[in-house]
Amino acid sequence: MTKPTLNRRQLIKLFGASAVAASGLLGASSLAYGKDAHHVVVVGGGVGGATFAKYLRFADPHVKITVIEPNENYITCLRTNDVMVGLHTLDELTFSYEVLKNQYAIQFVFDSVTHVDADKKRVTTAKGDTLNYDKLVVSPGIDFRFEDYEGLSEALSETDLPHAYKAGPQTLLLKKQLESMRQGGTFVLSPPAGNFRCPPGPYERASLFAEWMQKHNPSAKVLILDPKNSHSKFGPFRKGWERLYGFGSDNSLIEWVSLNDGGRVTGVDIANKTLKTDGGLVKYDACNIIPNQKAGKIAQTIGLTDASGWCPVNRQTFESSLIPNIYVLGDSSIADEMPKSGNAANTQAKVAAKAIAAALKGEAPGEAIFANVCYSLVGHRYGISISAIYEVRDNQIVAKGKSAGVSPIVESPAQATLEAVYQKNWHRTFVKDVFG
Amino acid sequence: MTFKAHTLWLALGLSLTLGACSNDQPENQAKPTATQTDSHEGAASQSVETPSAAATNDTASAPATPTNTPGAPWDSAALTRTLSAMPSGDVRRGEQAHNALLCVSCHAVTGQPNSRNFVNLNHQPENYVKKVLLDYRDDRRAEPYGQSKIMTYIAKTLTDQQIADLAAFYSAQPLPKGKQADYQAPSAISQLVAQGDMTRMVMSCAACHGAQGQGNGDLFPALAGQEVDYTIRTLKAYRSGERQNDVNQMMGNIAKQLTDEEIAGLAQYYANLNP
Amino acid sequence: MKKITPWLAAGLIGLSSHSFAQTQKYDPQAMAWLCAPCHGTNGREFHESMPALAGLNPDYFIRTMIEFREGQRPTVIMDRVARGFTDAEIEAMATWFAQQPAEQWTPEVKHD
Repeated sequence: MTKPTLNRRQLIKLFGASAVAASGLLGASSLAYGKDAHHVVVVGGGVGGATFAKYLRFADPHVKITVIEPNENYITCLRTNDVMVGLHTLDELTFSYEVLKNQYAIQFVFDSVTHVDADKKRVTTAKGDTLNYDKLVVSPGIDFRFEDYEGLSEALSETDLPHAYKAGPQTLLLKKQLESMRQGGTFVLSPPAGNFRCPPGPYERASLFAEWMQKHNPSAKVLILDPKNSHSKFGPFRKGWERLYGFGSDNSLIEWVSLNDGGRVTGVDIANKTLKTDGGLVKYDACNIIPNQKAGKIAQTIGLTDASGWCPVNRQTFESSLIPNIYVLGDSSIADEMPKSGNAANTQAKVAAKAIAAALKGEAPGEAIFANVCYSLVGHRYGISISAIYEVRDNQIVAKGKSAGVSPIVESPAQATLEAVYQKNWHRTFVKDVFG
Repeated sequence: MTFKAHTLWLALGLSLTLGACSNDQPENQAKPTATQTDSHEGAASQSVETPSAAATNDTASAPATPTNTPGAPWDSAALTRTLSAMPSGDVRRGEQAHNALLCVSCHAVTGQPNSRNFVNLNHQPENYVKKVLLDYRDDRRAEPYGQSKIMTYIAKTLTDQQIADLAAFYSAQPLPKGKQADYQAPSAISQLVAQGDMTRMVMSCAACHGAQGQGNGDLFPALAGQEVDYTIRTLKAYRSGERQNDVNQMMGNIAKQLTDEEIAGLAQYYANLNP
Repeated sequence: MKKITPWLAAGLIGLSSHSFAQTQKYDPQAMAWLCAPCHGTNGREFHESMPALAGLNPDYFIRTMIEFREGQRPTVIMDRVARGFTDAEIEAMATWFAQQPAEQWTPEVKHD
């Protein structure tokens, strides 16, 4: 691996001349990490991990930062629903770590972590490398509870029943299943119960599939079998479905069955294309079970999870409440009112970056503040959003002021039209904030 | 949700797909006027013959090509014909549309634009605003420099009446004031503004845009108080040919003669012009 | 960007009467970083619908945020976002963003 370097010109480009002068960032340009330079190791180069590494460099020009991530290129889960209906390709959602490596002097090890010795503050990788850390940051995303569904398994999700809730081959497999479903068929979509990644994701997926069917399979429908009685952006999704897909009419392209109406899926029989639900057996032509979720595997392995399956953290710093000097970001962490979203992970990473930079200097962390802005497409030209600023009150992360809210439902098409544009611009800007 | 409203939204969903760009699915096109369901100006909408409406009619049943189907370049006769067929606007309704359609979210009307992103609309000639909105609606302004996509989408939801009302509203706003009271224009820039440079066939800016940068007639936008960065990127886009919704390539031909320094100087001149 | 200096300075002077009147508990940079997913790292992304915040006139930033928050200026999402911030917090962000180097227009290769 070539040693990353930051020259003066790059630093000034990144941070601005006055910032470089004021903060002593130029000290990083030689990157002569002294023997006493602190080492922060990041496990997982997704939204949380990548944002953290970049922003720790802003917060501390001198610290040594190493990200351990299995994949040399990262595919964002964000906008994979668009891929399945042909609005995007996975290539367009794939990002490299070159900018972080070369311009932010972050080292990358493309490997998986197999073991963490929290007492010795040491990480072991699958290839047998060991790295010592001063602070360890874990941002491992999610893992699935396949066991909650009779007949479902991880192996089956890779061959027959893709959850397509992590970007990659399953995204393309589900796309193929949508496209090859018989005319007039029923596509059953089963969202997770409990806390899960991207709460509006399943409903955006149902929306975009309905839009796809409108053009390619107009007598088909999406049947949502839900283990909940409500969901994210409930009102705006419904209004959008009414407007675009005849929701509530006899010819609706989308049908939704709530928990109370027997919507919970408890098992699957792929031979007979049948789902077992609280309301009885349901036949499907194509099926997408998005299983219940828990913290990513490595968080479980290290022992960062509690009985809920998620990781309790200090809300001001995102340091684990269970193991000191290990921080948990993003979907795996317990963040109270904050949803498990990319934008949430991004702002948690910034809070942790400042907290760790302060801790390494022996200073107290500042007051944490977070945000989430999340756009969903009801149609490719119809967007809706949810947003909030968050603060810590009584050791809970809660919405600040009166900032929490979803898109207003208005007659004018301007709101939805603009939000669809904003969704695209948000993604474009967001990935740049994360990866370069 | 009434059936009628549902139909409107379906129509809108279809018509918005006209914004089709390289990433969109091949899909049937609907002409922009499909969104124009307000009965009180229906007749006027129908009578406007914009080149793109004709073009999209021809391809109504064929899959769209991955590219836009832009309106044909303007000539004076086509523009005059189109503008004279537009309904007349109402300032009060225009203000309501400015708010309800969320134009105000970006284009605040404060007399003083202050964002580097958003063009000043205050005091723009009525017909100029109509033309620009029609240009967006008919994909004459699908410029590839990251500037106009949002306006393309929003313009496709506009009726002719809304366009006319918005134009009436913006034209009724006062001209913004210059930013720096003590600004002194370099003499070369003042001369370019007042006299032009006929050795390069560069007409004086003031001849068309007015001695006070106040704009003029159907074609010539107000420049006084315009954002520096907006003027720079617009002139550069005309110069490179990325923007070409001007009539008879009038602005493009002039911009091709301008140096970077002149463009920057003119942008400062107009941002600071205090009539 | 040197042309910006006079009005920037004027804006900051205009601000100072508020800025020291109220205190707020957040690091201005920590608040400003929250804006990055839409407005770019350090508010510098400069294209289309989400305006660049770096180098923005602080008086304009404050006035706009307060108009959004108070429902005086209809907007798509910024009304909700602005309701998360007090006057003093908005002023602190305005000052921070005004000091960031502004990016020039970033042409976008691709649209969808």
